[in-house]
Amino acid sequence: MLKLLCCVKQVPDVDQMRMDPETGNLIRAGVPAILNPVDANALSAALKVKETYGGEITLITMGPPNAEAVLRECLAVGADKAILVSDRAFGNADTLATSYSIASAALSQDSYDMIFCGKETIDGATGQMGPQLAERFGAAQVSGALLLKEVNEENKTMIVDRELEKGVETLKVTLPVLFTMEKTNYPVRIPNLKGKMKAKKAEITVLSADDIPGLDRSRIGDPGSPTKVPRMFPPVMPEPGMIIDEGSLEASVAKLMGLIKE
Amino acid sequence: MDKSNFKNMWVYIEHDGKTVSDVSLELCCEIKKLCDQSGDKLIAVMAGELPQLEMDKIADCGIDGVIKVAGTGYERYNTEAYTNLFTVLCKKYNPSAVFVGATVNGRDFAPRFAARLETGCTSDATELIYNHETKDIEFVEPAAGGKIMAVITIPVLRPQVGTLRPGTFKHIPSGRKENIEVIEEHIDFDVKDICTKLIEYKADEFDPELDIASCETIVCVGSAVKEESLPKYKELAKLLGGKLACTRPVVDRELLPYKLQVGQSGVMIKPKLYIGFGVSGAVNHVTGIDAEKFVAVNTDATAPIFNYCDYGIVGDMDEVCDMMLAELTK
Amino acid sequence: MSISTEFITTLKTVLADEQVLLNDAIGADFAHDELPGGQEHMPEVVVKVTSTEEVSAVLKTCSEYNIPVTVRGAGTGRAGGSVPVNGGLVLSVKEMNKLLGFDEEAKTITVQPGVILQDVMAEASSHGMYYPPDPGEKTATIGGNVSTNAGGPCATKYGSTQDYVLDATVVLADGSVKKLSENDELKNVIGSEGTLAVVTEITLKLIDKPQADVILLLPFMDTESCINAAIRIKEENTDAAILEYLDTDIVEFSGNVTGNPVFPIEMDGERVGATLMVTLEGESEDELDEKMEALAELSEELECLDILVVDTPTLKRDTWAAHDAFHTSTESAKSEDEINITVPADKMAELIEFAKSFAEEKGLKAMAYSHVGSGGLHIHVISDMAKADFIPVMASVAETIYEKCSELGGCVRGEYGYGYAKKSYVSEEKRSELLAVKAALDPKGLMNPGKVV
Repeated sequence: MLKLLCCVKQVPDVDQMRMDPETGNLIRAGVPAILNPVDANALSAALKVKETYGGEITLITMGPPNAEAVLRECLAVGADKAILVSDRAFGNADTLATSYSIASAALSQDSYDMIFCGKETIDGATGQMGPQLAERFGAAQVSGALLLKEVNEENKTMIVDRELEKGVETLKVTLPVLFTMEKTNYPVRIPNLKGKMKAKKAEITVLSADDIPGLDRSRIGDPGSPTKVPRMFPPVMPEPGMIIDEGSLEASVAKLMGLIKE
Repeated sequence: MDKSNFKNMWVYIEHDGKTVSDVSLELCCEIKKLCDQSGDKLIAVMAGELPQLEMDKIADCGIDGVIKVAGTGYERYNTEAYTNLFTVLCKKYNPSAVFVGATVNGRDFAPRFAARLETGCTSDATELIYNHETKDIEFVEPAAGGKIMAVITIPVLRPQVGTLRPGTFKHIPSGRKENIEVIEEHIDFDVKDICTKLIEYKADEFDPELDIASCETIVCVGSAVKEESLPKYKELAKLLGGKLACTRPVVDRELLPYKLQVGQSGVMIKPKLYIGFGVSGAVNHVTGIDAEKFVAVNTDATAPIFNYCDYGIVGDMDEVCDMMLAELTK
Repeated sequence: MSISTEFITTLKTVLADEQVLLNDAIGADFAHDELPGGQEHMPEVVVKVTSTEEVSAVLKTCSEYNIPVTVRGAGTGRAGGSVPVNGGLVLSVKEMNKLLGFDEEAKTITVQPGVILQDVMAEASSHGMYYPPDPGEKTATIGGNVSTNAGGPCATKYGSTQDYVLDATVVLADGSVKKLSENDELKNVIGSEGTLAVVTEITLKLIDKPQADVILLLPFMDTESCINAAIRIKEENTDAAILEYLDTDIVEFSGNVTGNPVFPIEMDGERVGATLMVTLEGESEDELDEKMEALAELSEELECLDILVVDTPTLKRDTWAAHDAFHTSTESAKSEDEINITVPADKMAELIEFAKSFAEEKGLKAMAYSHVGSGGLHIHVISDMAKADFIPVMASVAETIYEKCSELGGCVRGEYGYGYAKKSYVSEEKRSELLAVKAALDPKGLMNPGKVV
């Protein structure tokens, strides 16, 4: 039986974030927390593998206790188990510390043949988590995976399409492997009422830092994060609607061309 | 960690054996400015060979040295060999920073070797600043979907790894240095240890002219366009390195295909530069545009499009187009 | 009708020069709306007004010179209602797009007619309130919604525009300004498609946004069982805010265009015939759960294949986007048209089946979605035929469907009004009723001539 791990994240719905025009700060209050959109496609890919070859899907996320909501959302469409890595000690982590924390937590429970991630999150948008998790799991990685085909359980290999700038490469990959999934080919599943009710009652494994044997505390949370954010500022907005009128159309166009090239 | 033991800034040279990628040259030119500030040397790092003409292009960006790596495992891009390559080189030479173009493959291995080195990695900075006091690079990047700008630093560890998007910086060669140090390295990676084997590569078949969603420059014609004028707008788009698009009425008139329709009921675009000719500025059109620079040309000074633009010209669209073409070809 | 220089000069005494467009300055868009295959009718003059006073001055001048007036908002209608079929003057209220007031306590919003629907919805939403009528085209103006009495999917529970207009300032054909407040005259003006008066200020009633809501998707084997289920759910008094029938053909077509169908096309390897989209609202998640369970108990009787639950912000947004894409995605077909009518719920399945098979006989493809509760039915017809070949075939198909609609006790008016496209289907009774009102308000017959009356 294939053991599939699906990594998901609860993110603020950045489309609904507004900036305070006075302070320039982002208004986070009232912005709903959602499942990172492309993570839902990654889960669909895992479900497709499970349906075709059999297997068990374990979900994992790191976040505050209420991140449980996105796990239940994923359980409702057919994931089997869920792990919530939650502890203040994990807070303020960058991708390096987060990848270490998630991999340590997941590996404290089981080993995995395939690991699924969304290509990137809408809040951080670094796209770094997949490759860094793959490093922690010691797994092969296919970033920007488009289509998963032909799993050979005996030889521990599979065939995968990967999206490049101007084409698609087909790769033969050795398991274990981590995929960061594109949106295409794996539409988001809508749960049915039965799945929803079952997910509501499902038990979720909550792991604190103490629950993970051998966890190096210097490598998690803020102390384990090499990147820091010393400051933020609002983006500079261009002045809207400057009508260029230099007397003649020729002169105006010449001025415009200069502005375009800037 | 004593940061002063880490010197020089590296740029990864991505290539296909024939030509060097544009982003590598853009990065060399930008990082050169950073090195001028910090006093570091700018080192280009590459695996495999490039023709001399291409090597000259890199040299012209003002590099101080090249690390050229030979060995097995680099022929086709793969995560394992390239991750290993940078891990080994960084441990040997202790660079202060490593920059990688945020191509599909660059984004694939850069975070991974950073993790293996247990150092910090940033992505998609739009501006780089050297802080003389802290001796750190400040990576300025849009966060939260572009609603705010964040400054990111890696204050304790080295190297500072950053992936940077193609097209963010300009390729303006600052001139070749007299002495460019060339270091030849030989690092073999056992091909057996590569977990991803290429079976097939298929170049995309789609008509690139119809792919306006990700295009950086859009020349958009509105309902006022005359059928016989279309070729010159196509030419203008081409000269600006962009593509032609249109509004719904133009599609209704069957002048251009539906795939070129910009707006709520068509394609959402996010170009760097948008120029609307004879576009009135209907809400369902403008809501489909997220342009860095928004230019409008229209005879009607009261057209709503002028409320959305950064720069506008009130005038005949065909005349303006002709003048722009003349400017671009002179 | 020809416009004199004297008339233009007079207009320019009440308006600034740039508000009066003539000849080449008139954009081509003013000659048509979004009616597929519609005729081009260029106005002789376009005026862009910004206030009630300006509208009054323009109408007074037009009345003096006997110039016909066609009011235009965003031009998103699909029946030709805002097209100047008799030439004359087009009164563009698009720039009358100011929000005039928001009364938190009274829960009302006052707007000029050129404010677009999505802005009204957003403004209401930012105050925790809700403006229900939504015909789908969110860039349509409120003025347009008032003139056609738009309703949309949620009309089942919330009614249509007329149920939300508390009072309105209107300008009559002679230029006189009147304030109408929840009386018969106001009722006459709403839905009169610009043939009686120009609405220049509108106060709309808002309601509290429901605390919680969920969309359920119920796939069925065929159209009939889907619509029967909707009727049954309504009878059961589940308080469904939306009961939307979705033909799998349109789900699939639109899904291919947008790349994300959202709604089910197949279940367990079998093609779904139709899906019922049900929206439930409540004051808490628990209340919603109860309502969902009540519906689940009905499910066996309903013969639905499953009950899918759309309850996350992302899925809800995707679901509505997929729904709203129905009427835009068909634009990608080589030729297309839309038949928008109202049919009683118990006759809806019959009409849909009839329309689909009749269109097929004529070599066209008909696909439908409908608001079962209020009877609003959208039939999109597409074809690979060239437009010139398509138009006559389509005209005959539409005629047959309109006849069938009347026969089944329906009404051909639909969401976009009669415009000029459906003029011939206005019943004699309705016509004489409207004419009687018009005789008093617009005796010269200058307001939007060539339309419903």
